[in-house]
Amino acid sequence: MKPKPQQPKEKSNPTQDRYNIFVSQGILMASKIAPTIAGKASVDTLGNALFGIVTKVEDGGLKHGVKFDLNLMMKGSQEILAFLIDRTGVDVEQMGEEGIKSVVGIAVGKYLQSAIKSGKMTEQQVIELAQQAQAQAPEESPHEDEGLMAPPAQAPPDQMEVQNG
Amino acid sequence: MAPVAVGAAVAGAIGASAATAAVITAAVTAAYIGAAVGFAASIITGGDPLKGALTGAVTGAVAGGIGGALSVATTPAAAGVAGTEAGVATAGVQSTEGLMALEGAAAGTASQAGPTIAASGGTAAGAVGAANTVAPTVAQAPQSGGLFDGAASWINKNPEMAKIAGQGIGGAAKSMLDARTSQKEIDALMERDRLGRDAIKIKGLTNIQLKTTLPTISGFTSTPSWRNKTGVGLFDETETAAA
Repeated sequence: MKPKPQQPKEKSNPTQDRYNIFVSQGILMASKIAPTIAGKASVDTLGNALFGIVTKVEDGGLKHGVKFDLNLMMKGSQEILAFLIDRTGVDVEQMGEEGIKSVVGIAVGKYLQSAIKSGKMTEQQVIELAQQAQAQAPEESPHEDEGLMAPPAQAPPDQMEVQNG
Repeated sequence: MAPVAVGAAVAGAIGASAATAAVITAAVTAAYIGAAVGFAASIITGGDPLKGALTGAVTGAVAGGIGGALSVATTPAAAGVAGTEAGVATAGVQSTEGLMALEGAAAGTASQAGPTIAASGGTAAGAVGAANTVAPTVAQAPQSGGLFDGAASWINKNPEMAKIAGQGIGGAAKSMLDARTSQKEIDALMERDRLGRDAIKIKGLTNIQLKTTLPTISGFTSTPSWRNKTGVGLFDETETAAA
């Protein structure tokens, strides 16, 4: 009997896998929420919803031994927000860029506030995070593949790795 | 390697579109950074962090003049100017719309899981005008791994630089709050939302206090089902639990 030819194994990419999981779970959750706020979705509503989704997916991941780093959540939540806006029928043109940015502001603000309250982060860590992000962000046209929230250059290389749960 | 976008594929698999994705991605990357900077700046100046995050997101930390504060911060002689004139009128972003909807959706009670007003504290807390150049100190060991281990390590090894960096964030607050026009627009947006909520309240659609268990998310440690299947059954929790 001829041995079956082995199928080439897909190269594992843990970062991509975690990203896929984060976005997929977030979109699934957003698809359940969207009908309940469709037609009355305001900046505040969307910001709260995005914060809630991100927090719940993050917590769910931790319960299953999967840790999503901040940079991944930042990028992933953009996709979730896009989906949420689509599904709630928000008129993007009417809301405008400022409105969308306000949604992000509310979500990020609540996330950081919650992280401090729960002890996940200290105020000092939030300040340092902001410092890093600002220092490493490009001047214009932010490129999403840059490590916007990577540690400072002075950090030892072994601490620059994102921990995987 | 940076992860690539999958949202459109996932959305397609559950029968939805994600046409807005490109617009959103282009618009908000800087807003995330701005929000984080604004939040941090408010911690230092004693302002309302939520308001700071909102302002930072809209004005942008990079292109909105806040970036300049960083270069100021790296010059010790100029660091003392940070944090002044941080006149923050705290209107507060405290409603729980969306969150309550999230709870409702999780419990499968989608019909009336509408917005609920917890508090929309609209009172101005006045100006927080005092100069506040708090020198950052790391009193607690970082509780999360990776990124923040690195950050705390850097602060411990570079206390002087960390101090200056902290002052720079205060400077960022000053730059940010100089954008008076944007501030007015934010206030207008928030007022519009408040009025919208009041209208909903009058219609009797509020006060749905759902206390439900959070959704369980199975399958985190196994291959997501959508990688093998498409369409129906995507992330079906029963299915993944059984697997």
